[in-house]
Amino acid sequence: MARATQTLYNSYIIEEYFLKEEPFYVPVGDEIELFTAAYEQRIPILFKGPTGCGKTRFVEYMSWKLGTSLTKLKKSTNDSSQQNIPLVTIACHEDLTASDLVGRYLLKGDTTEWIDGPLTRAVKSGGICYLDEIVEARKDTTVLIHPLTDHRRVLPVEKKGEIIEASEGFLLVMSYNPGYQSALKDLKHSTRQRFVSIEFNPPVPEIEKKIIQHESGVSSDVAESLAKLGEKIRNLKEQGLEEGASTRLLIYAGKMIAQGIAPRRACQISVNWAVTDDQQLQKAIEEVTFSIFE
Amino acid sequence: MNNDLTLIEKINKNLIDQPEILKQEYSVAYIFLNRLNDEELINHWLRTSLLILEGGGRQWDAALQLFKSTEDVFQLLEKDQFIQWLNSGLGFSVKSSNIAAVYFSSSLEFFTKFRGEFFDIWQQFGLDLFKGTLESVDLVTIYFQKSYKLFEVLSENEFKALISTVIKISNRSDDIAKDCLLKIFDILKLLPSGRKKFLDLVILLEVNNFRFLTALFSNSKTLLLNVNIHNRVQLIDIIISIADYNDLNLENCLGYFSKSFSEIPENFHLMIIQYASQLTSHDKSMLESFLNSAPFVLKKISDIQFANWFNKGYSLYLENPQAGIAFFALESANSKQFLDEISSGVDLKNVLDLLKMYCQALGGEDVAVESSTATGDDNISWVSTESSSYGNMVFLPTRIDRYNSKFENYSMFKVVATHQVAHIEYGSFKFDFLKSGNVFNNIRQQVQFSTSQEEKQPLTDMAKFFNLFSEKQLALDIFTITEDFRLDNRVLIEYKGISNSYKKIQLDSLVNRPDIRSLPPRESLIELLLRYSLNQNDKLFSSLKNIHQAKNILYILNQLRNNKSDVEDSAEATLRIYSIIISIDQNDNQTSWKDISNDLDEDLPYIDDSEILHNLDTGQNDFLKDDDYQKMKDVEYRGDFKPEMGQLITDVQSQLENPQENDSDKITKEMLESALEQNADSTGEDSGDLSDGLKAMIQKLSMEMMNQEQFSADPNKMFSEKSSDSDLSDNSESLKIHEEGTFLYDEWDFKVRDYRVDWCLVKEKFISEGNSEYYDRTLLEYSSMVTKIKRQFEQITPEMYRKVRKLDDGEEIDIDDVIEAMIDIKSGVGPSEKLYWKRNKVQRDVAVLFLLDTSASTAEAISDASSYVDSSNIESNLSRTSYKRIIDVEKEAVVLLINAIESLGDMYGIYGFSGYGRENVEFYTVKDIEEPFSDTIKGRVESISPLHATRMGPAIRHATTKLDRVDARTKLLFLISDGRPQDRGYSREGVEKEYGVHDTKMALDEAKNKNINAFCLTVDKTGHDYLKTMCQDMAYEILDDIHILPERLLYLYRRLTT
Repeated sequence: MARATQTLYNSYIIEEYFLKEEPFYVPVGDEIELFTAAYEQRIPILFKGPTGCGKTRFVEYMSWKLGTSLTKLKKSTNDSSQQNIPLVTIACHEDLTASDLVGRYLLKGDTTEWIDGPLTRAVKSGGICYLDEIVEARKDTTVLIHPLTDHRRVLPVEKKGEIIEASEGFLLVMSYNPGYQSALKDLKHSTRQRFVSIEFNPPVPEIEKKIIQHESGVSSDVAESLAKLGEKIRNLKEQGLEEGASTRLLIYAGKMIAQGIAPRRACQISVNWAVTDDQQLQKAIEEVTFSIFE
Repeated sequence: MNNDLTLIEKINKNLIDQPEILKQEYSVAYIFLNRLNDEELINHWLRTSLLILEGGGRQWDAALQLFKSTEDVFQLLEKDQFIQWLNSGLGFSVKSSNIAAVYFSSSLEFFTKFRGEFFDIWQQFGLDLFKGTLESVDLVTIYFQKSYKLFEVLSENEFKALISTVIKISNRSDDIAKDCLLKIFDILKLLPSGRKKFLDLVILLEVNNFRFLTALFSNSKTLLLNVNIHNRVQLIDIIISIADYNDLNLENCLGYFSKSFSEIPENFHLMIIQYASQLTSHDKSMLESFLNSAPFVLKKISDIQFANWFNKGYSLYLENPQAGIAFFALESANSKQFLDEISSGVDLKNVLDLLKMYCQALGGEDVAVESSTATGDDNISWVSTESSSYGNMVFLPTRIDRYNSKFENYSMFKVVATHQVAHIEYGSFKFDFLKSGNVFNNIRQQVQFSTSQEEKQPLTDMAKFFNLFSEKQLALDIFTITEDFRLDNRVLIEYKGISNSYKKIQLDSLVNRPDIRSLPPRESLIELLLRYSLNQNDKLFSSLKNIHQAKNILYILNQLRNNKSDVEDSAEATLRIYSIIISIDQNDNQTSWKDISNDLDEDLPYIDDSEILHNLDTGQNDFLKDDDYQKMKDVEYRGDFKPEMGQLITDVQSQLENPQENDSDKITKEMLESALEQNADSTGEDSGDLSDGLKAMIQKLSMEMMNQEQFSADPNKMFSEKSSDSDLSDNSESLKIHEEGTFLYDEWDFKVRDYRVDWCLVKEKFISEGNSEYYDRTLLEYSSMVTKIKRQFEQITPEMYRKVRKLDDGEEIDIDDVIEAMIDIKSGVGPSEKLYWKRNKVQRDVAVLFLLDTSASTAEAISDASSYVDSSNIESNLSRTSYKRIIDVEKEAVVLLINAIESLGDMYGIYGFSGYGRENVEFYTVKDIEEPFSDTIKGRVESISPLHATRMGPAIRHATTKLDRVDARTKLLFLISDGRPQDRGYSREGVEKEYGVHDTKMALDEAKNKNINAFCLTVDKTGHDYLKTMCQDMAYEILDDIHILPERLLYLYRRLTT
C-alpha cells in the first residue's frame, strides 16, 4: 500500500504545524454550548452542512477552546501550561481502508515495524478525531468506528490482536454534507444514530460580514456587499445551483479585492465561476454582482 | 293641337291600366310642359312618351322616370338638347326598358352637375357599351348609374380612354367591366393626383394581365385607404411597374401592400414604397417577404436602422438570391440576429430567463417573473406595459425601447426589475398596522378612522391603514411616493453597482412629468414631493403661499433616507405628509413660485405629533368632499404600485403555504373576490387596468384556495365521525385470495394504530397492448431531449470499468498486496492469498421500479399549456396538440425513461395502479422488472389510461414485494402521482382523508426498511401538506409544471443512482 503510506508521510510533514492562537470563529447559534456539552459526556458529534460554512473551522476552534492549541497527531511538546487536545483530521475518500485508519506493519530492512494510523493515534493521545466528508468513505470502513462511538470506547486493532481503549480526551467528530440525497451515498443508520448532529447553515449576513471582514481584511462596506452577494446567490439554489456560494468563497473574493483586484472581477473568478458552470446561471449571478458592486 | 289631342288620348288609354303613381307623374309633367306653350316640344314629348308606353311590358318604369325627370331636366337644358335627350331615351327604351329607366333617372343628376356638357359622350358610350345581350343591359344600367360621377374626377379624354377600356373589358367579361364601373369612382377619388396613372394601370392590365383586373378593382380601395395620401401615386407607380410580370400574383401582392401599410405608421409609407420599388425589379417573392416583414421590423427598429436592415438584406440578395429572400422573410438566423443586433429595444422574452434568476437571487427563490401582458408585442411605445409586483410575483414590461442603445435599454430593464423586487426584498407588502417603524413615532393608532367602519373588517393591514384617510387617492399617491422613495434609497445604498444607471433613469423619468407650476395646489405639492423623491435637486418650485408646507413635506420624506427605515415608516411619513397637504385649500390660485431647492437645509420647526393628529382630524372633518384631486402620473420605471392588492396577495400566498395557521383571520375565496371588486371600485377609472398577468394570477390563487377549503374541513369532525364510517365498519373482514395473480396486503389504520390484516386485494394484470408506434413517435417528438439525455447518461457509464483488487486470480499481481503479504509473513500474521487485481466490468447494480398513478384525476387536462416557456423541444410538441392530459405527460415520461434506462442496462419495472375499494386494487404491469424490453412493452405504454381511484398503500406494498425479490445493491421506488391518496374508505372527504396518507406513509416506511429508497414525485401543487406527513424523512418533490415531468424524472433518476 505504497500510496497510503505516502498519504501518511505527507501528514508527518505537516505534523509540526499547530495553531498557537485562537482560531477566528463567530458562533451562529448555540453550537459552542452543544459541542462543549457533548464533549463533556463524550458523545460523538456529526456536523451537517454545506461546504465552506465553517465546519472545519469550528472543530479547530473547539479543540483550541476545549484544550487550547491544536496539533496534528501529537500533543504539542511545547511547554504550554494548558492541556492540549490534539485534533486529527482525516479526509475520507473512496479508497480509504481500515488499515489507513488504524495502522499497519511496514517493512524495515528485514524486519517489520508497526505504524499507528491516525485514528489509533488520536485514540491513544486522547484527541479529537475529525473525519471529514464521512459519506465518501466506504461503508465497511465506517463500521470500524462503531466500537469507538458507544459505551465501549475501544478500537480493535485486528492485525496486532489488540484492543486499544480510548484515552480520556478522545472524541470522534464527523462531517457530512447531505446535499442532494444520493441513494448510493447515504450514511447507514447504524452509523448515523451513534452521533448527535449539529447542523450548519451559512451564517446570517451580519455575521457573515464580520467573518469576511476579519478573514480577508476588506473594508466593512465591501464585506457587507460580499455577504449580500452570498445571500442573493443562495436564493438561486432552486435554479440548479447545487450549493450556494460558501462563506469560504466570499472570503476568497474578499482577499482578491484586498489585493487590489476590481470587485466585479474578483467576484467573477472566485464566486461566480466557482459555483456553477451553467452559462445562464453565471450570467444571472454576474448581473447580481454588477448590481451590488460598482 | 289635333295631334296633341290624339296623342293625349292615346296616352290616356295606355295609362288606364297603369299604376296610379304613373298617372300622377304624367299629369304633373304634362301640366308643366303645357304651360310652356311650345307645341313642337310638347308634341315631341308626348310622342316619345307614347312610344315608350306602347313598348309594353315593364315600360311603365321607363315612362315613370321620364315623367319624373322631365320638368327638372328641361330647366337644365337647351331645347335642342332636351329633344336629343328624349330621342336617345327613346332609343334606349327600344333596346331595354331598364336602361331607359336608369338613363332617365340618372340623367337628372348628370345634368344637375354638368348641364349639357359631356352629354354627347356620355350617352354615346352608353350606346357603345350595349351589345344586345342581357348581360350588357346590366352593364349599361350600371354605366348610367355610376359613370356620370366620373366626369367630376376625369377629363373628357380620360373618360373616353376609361370607357373605351371598359368596352374592351366587357368584350371579355361583362362582370369585370361592371366591377370596374362600380368601383372605379371610389378608387379615383382616393387618388387626387394619380388618376391618369391608375387609368394607365387599368389599361395596362387589360392588355397584359387581364386576370388580375378583378383583384385590382376590389382591393384598390382598401389599399389606397391604408396608404398615406401623399404617397399613393408612388404606390401606383410600383404597381404599374410590376403589373405586367407574368410570374407575379398581383392579387396577393396588393394584399401584402395593403396589410403592410395598415400596420405601418403613415410617415414611413414613402420609405417602404421606395424600398419596395427597389425590389420590384428582382424576385417577386422577395417583395412579398419584405412587405410581410416590414411592419414587424419597424416595430423593433427605427427608420434609420431600417435602412441598414434593408441594405443588408439587399446586398445579401445580390450575392445570393435565396439568402436575400430568407433574410427579408425573417426566416434565416442571420436576419433574426442582425435585427436583434441593430434594434436597440430589448424584448422581455429574450431576457426573461436571466431576469427571472436575477429577481430570484434578489428576492428569494419563490419569486416569479412574468410579462405584464399575456399577448406581447402589440405595442410600439417605448415601454409597452407597466411593471408591477404583487405577493411574490413581479411583472415586467414586455419590451423596453426607450434609449438608443441596447445596453441602456437593458439597464432600464434591470432597474425596473430591481425596483420591483425591492418591494419584495424590503417588505412593502409585509405592512403591520400595529408595528412601530424605526424612524417615526407610531401615531397610526391615534388617528380616527375616517371611512365608516360599519361595512366590514378590512382584509389587510394595508387596507386598514388606508381607511384612515378620507381622500384615499391622495393618501395612496403619497404612500406610493414615500414607499418608492424608501426602496430606491435602500437600493442605492445597498446596490452600488446599479446606482449609476438607477440614478440616470430617475433623472430621465423627470422629463415627461408635468410642470409643478401648471398643477392645482395639492397636485403641485405631490408633484414636488415626487420630483424630490426622484432626486431632482433643482427647480423644486413651491408657491410662495405654501412654501412652509412644501419644505415640511420634503423634510419628512427625507427622513426615510435611512437604511433602517421600513414600510411602517413610509406609512407614518404618509400620515404626516397627508396631514399637511390635506390642509391646503385646493381652490387657491397660485401665481408666484419660488425655487426652494437651495433652502432645504434650513432647520425646520419640529412638528409635534399632536399637531399632525389635529390637522388630520380637522382636515378630515371639514372637507367639502372635493373629489377633484387627480391621481398623479405614474413614474415610468416605478410602474404601478398597488399596496393593498399586493399585501392581499402576499397574505393569501402565505396562507396557502401554511394552511394550518391562524384560522381566525383566514381569507376566504369570497373575501378575495369581493376585495377585487372593491379595488376596482375604489380606484375608479382604473378599474379595468388590472393586467392580464395579475388576473391570471388571482384566478390561480382563488382556485388554489378553493381546493384548500375543500380539503381543510374541520378536523374535529373527522375524528368524531370516524366510527360511523360505513365503508370500514360494515365489511370489516379480511379478504381471501380466490384466483391467481392476486395478492393480499395489510393496511395501516392510524386510528387503531395497528395493521388491518389481509385488508387489501391487489390484482396484478398486464396492461392491454396498444399500438407500438406511439413509443417511437414520442421519441421522435422529444428527439432533441433524447440526445441530451443520452449524453448525460453516457457520463454515468465510464465508471463501469473498475480496478478490482484482492482477487485470487487476475490480470496481474498487486504490488501493494504482495508487500503487505510479505510483511504479514515477517510479522507472523497469516498473509492474505488474494494478491491479484483485474479490470472488471462492474455492473451498475440498480433496480428501479416506477409506480404510476393512473387514477381518474390524471385525465384532467393540463390547463395552461401556453404559459410554459422553456426548452424548445417540448414546445414544438405542444404546438401540435394544445390539449394534453396529465396522463399523457406521464406516458411521455415513461417512454423517455425506458429509452434512457435501456441504454444504462439497469433493471427496471414500470407499473400503473388504480382501483376501486380495498378488494379491488388494480396493479397494471407495463414492464415487469425482469421482463426484457420489446415491442409488446412499447405497445403497452400507449394504452396506459386513467382509471379509478388512488389507493397508494397496497400498490406500494406490492411494488416493494416485487423489488424485494430482486437482487440488487441499490433499489429505488419512484412514485409518480397527481394528488393525495384517495379511494373508497381510504380518503373520504373530511372524514377519512388522513387515513390514506398515514397508510401510504407506513407503506413507504416498510419499503425503506427493506432497503428500498422511495421517492415521491407529484404534480399536485397543493401537495406540501400531506406529502410532508407522507414522506417525513424521505425525499419528495412537487413539480410546479407538469411539462417538466419527463425531464425532471430523468434528472432525479440520474442523481439518485450515481
